[in-house]
Amino acid sequence: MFALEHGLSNDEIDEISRLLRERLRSNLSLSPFWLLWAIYGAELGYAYVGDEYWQSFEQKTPYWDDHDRYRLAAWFRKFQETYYGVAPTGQWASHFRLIAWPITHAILPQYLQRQFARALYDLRFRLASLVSLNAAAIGHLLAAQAHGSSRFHEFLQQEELTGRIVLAVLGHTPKGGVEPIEKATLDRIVGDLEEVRASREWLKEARRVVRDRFVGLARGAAPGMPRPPSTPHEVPSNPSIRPNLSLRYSGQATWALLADLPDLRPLATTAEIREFLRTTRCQLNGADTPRPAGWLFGSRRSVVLKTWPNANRPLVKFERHDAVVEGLLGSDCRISRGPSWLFRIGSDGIAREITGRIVRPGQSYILVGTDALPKPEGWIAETGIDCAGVSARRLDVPVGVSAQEIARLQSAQLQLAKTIRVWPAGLPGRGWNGEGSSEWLTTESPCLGLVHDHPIVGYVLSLDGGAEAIIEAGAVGFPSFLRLAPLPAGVHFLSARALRDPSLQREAPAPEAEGHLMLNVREPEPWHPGQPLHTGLIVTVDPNDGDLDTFWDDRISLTILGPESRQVHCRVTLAKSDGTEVLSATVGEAFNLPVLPAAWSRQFRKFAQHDDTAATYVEATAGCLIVEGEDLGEFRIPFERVVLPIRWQLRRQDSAVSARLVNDTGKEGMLPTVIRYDMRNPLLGNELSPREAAEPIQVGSPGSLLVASLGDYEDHVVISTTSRGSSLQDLGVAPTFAQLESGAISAPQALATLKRWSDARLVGPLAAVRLDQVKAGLVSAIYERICGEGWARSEAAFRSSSSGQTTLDDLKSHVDGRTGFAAVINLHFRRMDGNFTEGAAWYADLSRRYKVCAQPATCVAALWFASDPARLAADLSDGDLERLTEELAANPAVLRGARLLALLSANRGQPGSELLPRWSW
Amino acid sequence: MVMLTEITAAEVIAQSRETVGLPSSFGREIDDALIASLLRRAAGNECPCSRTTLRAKVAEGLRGLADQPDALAERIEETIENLVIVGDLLELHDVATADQEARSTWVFAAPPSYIVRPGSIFLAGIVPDQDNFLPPFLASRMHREGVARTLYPEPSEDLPQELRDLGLVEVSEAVWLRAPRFEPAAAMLEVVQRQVQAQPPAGTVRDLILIDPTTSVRFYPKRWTAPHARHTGLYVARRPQEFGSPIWCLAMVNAGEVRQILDLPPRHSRWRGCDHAWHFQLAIDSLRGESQTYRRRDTADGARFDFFSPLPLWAQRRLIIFGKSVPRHNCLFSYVVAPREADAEERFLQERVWLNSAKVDGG
Repeated sequence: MFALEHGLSNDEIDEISRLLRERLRSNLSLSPFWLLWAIYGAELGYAYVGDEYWQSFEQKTPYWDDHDRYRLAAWFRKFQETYYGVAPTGQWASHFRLIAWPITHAILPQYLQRQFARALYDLRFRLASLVSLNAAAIGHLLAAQAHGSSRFHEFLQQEELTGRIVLAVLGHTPKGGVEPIEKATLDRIVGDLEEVRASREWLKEARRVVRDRFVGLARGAAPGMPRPPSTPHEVPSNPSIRPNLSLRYSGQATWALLADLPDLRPLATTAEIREFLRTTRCQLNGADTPRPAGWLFGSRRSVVLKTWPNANRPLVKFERHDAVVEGLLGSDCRISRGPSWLFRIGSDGIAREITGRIVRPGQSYILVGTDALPKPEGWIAETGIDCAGVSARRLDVPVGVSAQEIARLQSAQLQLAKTIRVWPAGLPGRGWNGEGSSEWLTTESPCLGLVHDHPIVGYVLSLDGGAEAIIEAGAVGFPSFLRLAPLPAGVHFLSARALRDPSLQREAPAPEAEGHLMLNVREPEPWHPGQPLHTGLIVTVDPNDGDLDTFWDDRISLTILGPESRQVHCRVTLAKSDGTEVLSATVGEAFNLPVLPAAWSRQFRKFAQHDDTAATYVEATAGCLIVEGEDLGEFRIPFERVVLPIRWQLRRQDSAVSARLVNDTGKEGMLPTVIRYDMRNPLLGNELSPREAAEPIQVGSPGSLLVASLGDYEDHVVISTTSRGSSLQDLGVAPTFAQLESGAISAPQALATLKRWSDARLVGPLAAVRLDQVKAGLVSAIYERICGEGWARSEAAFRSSSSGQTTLDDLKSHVDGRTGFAAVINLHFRRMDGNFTEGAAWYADLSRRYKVCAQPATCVAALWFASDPARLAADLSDGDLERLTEELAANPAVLRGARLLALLSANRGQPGSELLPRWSW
Repeated sequence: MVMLTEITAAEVIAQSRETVGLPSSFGREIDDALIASLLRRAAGNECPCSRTTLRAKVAEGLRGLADQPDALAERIEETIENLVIVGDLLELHDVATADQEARSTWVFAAPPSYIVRPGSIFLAGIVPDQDNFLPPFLASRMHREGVARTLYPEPSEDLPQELRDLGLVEVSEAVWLRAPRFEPAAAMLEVVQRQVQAQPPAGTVRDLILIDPTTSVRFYPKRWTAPHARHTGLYVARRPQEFGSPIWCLAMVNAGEVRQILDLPPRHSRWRGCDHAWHFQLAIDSLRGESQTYRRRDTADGARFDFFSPLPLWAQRRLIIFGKSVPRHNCLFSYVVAPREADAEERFLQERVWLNSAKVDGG
């Protein structure tokens, strides 16, 4: 039972709310009316907009005390125990332990209703293909396959709950006749859902499809319904994820290998697999470059492979391990076994793989092999293939093939065609390779044509090795047609055997001719607006699951491919938690296609740093990048701010920003730790008292870092503000690090603070510029602490001088007091340009030879320290970090050498302003 | 047990019509609406691909079903062209798909989109796995005229907003009807002639064919011929390539010998090679004083325009949006344009593509 199933009228709810608020104002005991408070909380949960439950609760409930939040949760627990109420479950509920109660008991909050209706519509065929409609299976399906916002996915984690809502909305009463949701409550939810016409129609269609399926009858204009699987089981057959290979003619008698990779969405049978597929990068067998996370989720991809894939390994390999996905990829997502592969050349110049290795007289083929291929002779000619590891032959099979030539084909493991041909009739064959393999949807009735080239009396047909059916054959060359009922998802085989006239068979015995057709049957994939189709606009974002801050901080790599003659506009929208759009603006001018990451980054940085835009971002909780290509289409990449159980909520008023801490962790008796750092004094953390932390914090110019943490949860934000009438100097920030210089703060402590600044999300004008200044100052101060003042002065001179050997010589002289070590570093700094491990080994050897440091591990750590101290602080434990800084402080020459190397590498051997190199380790 | 039924060719066609959401037809008739639906379905599966792939896919499915198989390939090709004109298919050149290094011309399935017109909404686009990207309550209201698909809003609804909510992209009428900048025929040809003459010598070009401007503008197929000693000057031509449609080009010819060639479209052009070629041919004919012609007949439905030569996409698209395609009779293609738009469209034809009105035969 849910608290929303109270059965009270709107008037009664209003009256109860009024009385409860009055009681609160009068400071009377609340507990006696715990049930009404649970109902009140659920009602406010129903109107919840996804960001701020307590804020709106408190606004509507004057005199409400923060501490009463725990009591409200306790009343919901009491409700659960007393009335067999629902308990919140799932990851979201475990993070948001208090608000999970009222929101779960609101059943389906209004702001999720539209997405919910759309998900049922999109998944209607999959719902209909479930063997039985039970809440667990439905909830599982929605969690794995539905499309929507991250908050919607969090909601779907409560699988049992969502399954019950679906049952109720679809009008399905489970066995035993108990309604999954009380009728008046359900009517209310459905009524709200149906207020919007689109939602109403989506639900109507979803109900129709599922109802038709469960009475076993398809009706209406929509495609026919799939039959239930012949053997009842809840888990559908594995979807076909076999890649298709083809060869594309690239001119001058040369072919290129093209792999058509499947959309892996059908593998997402659980929310975990869905997450894995969306967030893990993959590598293709036969290509060097890794593909971004989510590359194969939601879209089929075609790629040219320059190396022939290893047939013993899956074509796709993910960077992380998942046993289920690897199992499926290992068995299905691989190319057919070699050592040779046959491709039939179509009239369009594309040669498609014929897995059955059948050749027909009068047709042309390309045979590709890793081993020796038939000798070029007669109708077999050598041809080029732009793919390492294989060679190719072109076969122009003559109309009349002699016995000797048949033997030649057989020695190449090829067969001359049998004399029955089967093909998809009417509808163009999806995935049809021209020779025996095609793809169908569960909603379709496959129609097939059959034709034979010698006299026969009929065809003996069998599907999946089942009972045989005989149909009469027409005259030679005249096709017969047959129709199959819609098939359940999975792979099916149709075989057609020729039935010869018995008398003819007696006079001229011959083996029976056979034709085969493999039918890969799957559910139709829903279309989601703004997602990649095979349009002229190919947009790739890496990572594809970045949140709003990742996008705003320009930590995504965006590529837009398309015709060179066209331009696209990139628009960014930002919205507040209640959905109000606060920004809709175009990034720069029109972009010429193709748009490469550097061009995007250049324009976007300017855009994001613009004062007005940056100020708007302060309040945004969601955004969208819209690539507009006119008739080429529109591509939408949504970004959401991750709603953390503990988080800073920001409000802007003119140029000032206030930050309020929201604590939804539900950790009773524990208070968050809140520390504020000023940009002008970045090491000095000021811990706020609980009272101060509970109030909005005003942030003035130039800005602050706010850190809040409670248990495992934390949120860091750097807020940058500008005051009216700021001068040019005010735009930057000049931080001081006196505490580090005086020794009040140790180097490991400073590194930990550097990590906090580095991890924070950025908001406000000039935030990125100012943060860079803070971080650069802090890093330099840490180096100074370990390497000494003299070194620090030399580094500063090197970085501020645009030319001159003097500053370089000065820097070299400060490394270890001798010239040899620094001179070799200066001479060979480019060794760090390639593989870091090899470069580090060289540096360790050099340090050993010059007696600077005999410990290779210390030398490598010095290079890490010299190139990315913030990452080092994140990767090492506090103890390790302390040990390392002590070690370096005891032998600063090894760090100074590493810094010299880092500076030369970052500035290409000349004095320059770059502080850190881009080594990847 | 799975039902496996022998059916007739007519039943295959009926089944296909039902699957793509078309009303049933009589016997084995394969009409343009069915061919268009099958092409959209093939495009949803195959694109990006070549026109030949689309044609081959649909032709193979219809093997053994058509009453007049010989005419079928041509009808499929015509329907592909019409789908490009209405914007369901995009024929893009200089585009990289699988390989950033390999740029080529491909047909793409256009994303679902709509164009708002006074009193109607024109739909374009294709999605895989679905013969119709609209939910049933809107799909049932869709009107099909030839290959065009239109919705008529009801007074009480904000249909553009609903389509936007469904995820369709709005394309403005101005963008959809975009045409090249106007240039007088002589100026346009002068510029392009200089560009052709700047090309290196063509060498031997096998099997090139060209449009002979001295032939009748009333019968387009007959205008194509191999270069002959009588041919000197700038010609619209096509040259074959291995695998793929012949390449549109402009050829500078001297006494039947091809001197220079400029392939079409020029780099960075948004139009197709054939659009440029037809535009140039219209200019060439106009300058010779033998302008291409159209025939106008006013009927109860509106003004019927018959055409005898192909028009560039940007010109023909106007006719689709301001009128509707109707079966041709003794011409290459025909449209009926609403009376209120007819005069303006006629002016466009005369001024922008230099067409002359022909005498109406027998009427």
